[in-house]
Amino acid sequence: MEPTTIENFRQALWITVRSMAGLFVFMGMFILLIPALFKLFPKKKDE
Amino acid sequence: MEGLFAGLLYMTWKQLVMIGFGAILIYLAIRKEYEPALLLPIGFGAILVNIPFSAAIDQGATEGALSIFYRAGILTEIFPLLIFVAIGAMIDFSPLFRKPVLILFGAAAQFGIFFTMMVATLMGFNLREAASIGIIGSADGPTSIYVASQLARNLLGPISVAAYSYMSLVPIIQPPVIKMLTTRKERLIRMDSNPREVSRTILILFPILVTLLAGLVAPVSVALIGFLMFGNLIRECGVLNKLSLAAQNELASLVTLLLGISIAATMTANDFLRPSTLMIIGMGLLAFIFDTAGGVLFAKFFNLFLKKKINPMIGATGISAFPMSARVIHTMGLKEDPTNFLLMYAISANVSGQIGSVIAGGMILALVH
Repeated sequence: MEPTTIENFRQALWITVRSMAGLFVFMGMFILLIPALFKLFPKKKDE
Repeated sequence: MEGLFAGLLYMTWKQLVMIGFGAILIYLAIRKEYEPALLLPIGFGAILVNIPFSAAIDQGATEGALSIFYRAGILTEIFPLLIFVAIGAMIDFSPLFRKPVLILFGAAAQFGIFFTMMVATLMGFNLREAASIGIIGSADGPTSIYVASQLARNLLGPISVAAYSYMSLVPIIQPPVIKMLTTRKERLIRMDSNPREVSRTILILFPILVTLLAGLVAPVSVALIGFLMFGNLIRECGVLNKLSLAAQNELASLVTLLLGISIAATMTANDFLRPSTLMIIGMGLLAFIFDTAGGVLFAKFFNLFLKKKINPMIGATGISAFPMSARVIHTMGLKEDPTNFLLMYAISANVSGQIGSVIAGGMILALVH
């Protein structure tokens, strides 16, 4: 295998780790945010 | 006389193959109804650009209409972004609030994107091309086009065709993968219902908060997520109903048409008929398979820590193909147990997949240089 291919794969692997972690952190923030939104803005009767 | 029949005299076998390919896309769009709004314009465009000396594309110094559309709408990213406004206006995010933990599947089911990116590098594609191929796994046509137009314009044609074709094949791709990774007992898991009333304020705040959060995490994703959420804000604000309907209908139809036919400008025989095209089509399938596997396996892993288990099939709906994927899982659930209704949860995870795919696109744009 060519060194460029190995280097590209290594970078792709690193991007995978960072992106998947980033995605979970981002979605995790929403899981925390949603209960807070429900507390702050409960549905009113007239809505 | 020769000038009159120049098209016929100079037709190459490659152009004939591409015209045949265009005809197949039109057939699939009409007879099989595989994403007709996109595949039909792409198919017809493929015919237009492969007629020798076609005036639809640039010929030397003479500009062609499709090439102009391509430069004005795709290279500037205007068409995909306008499609995002239309999609945003179509999405109802309220199912997300029913069981917030399902949002995580919108992250897990993006795994196929990154797995395929790694495979593509091993097959000799450079990092930018590999990332553009991987993004087919977002199961989100506009995101695929947006990312590919920034990172690998040379592959835009095959990537778009693969993305839209596999999106319509979700009902065929997902069930065998899910069955392979789950036991019948797991597929029979029932989930308790938790209907929650969502206030209008939350629905209005949601697109603004998502844009802010996404912007802070990956500023490069702001255009992508911002236009999607702008469309959603138009829908939820309650004072722009006419605009919301226009975005969902007229804007979506017109821009889809222009997007499809403009992409075809890249599908000339010399650019499209390469071994790499077949590889991209193959890797697109791989991306969808590993998206599904990522979602299902994450659900199984998650269940190790939960008292009330999640049906792992729900994990597969974390992709962006909405509502197709949710329907597939709902139907699979009903086949196992006709009284087990998974649709509500499947829809929740499926909606989170729509956000996840766009964020994944943003991550790729931020990290791939």
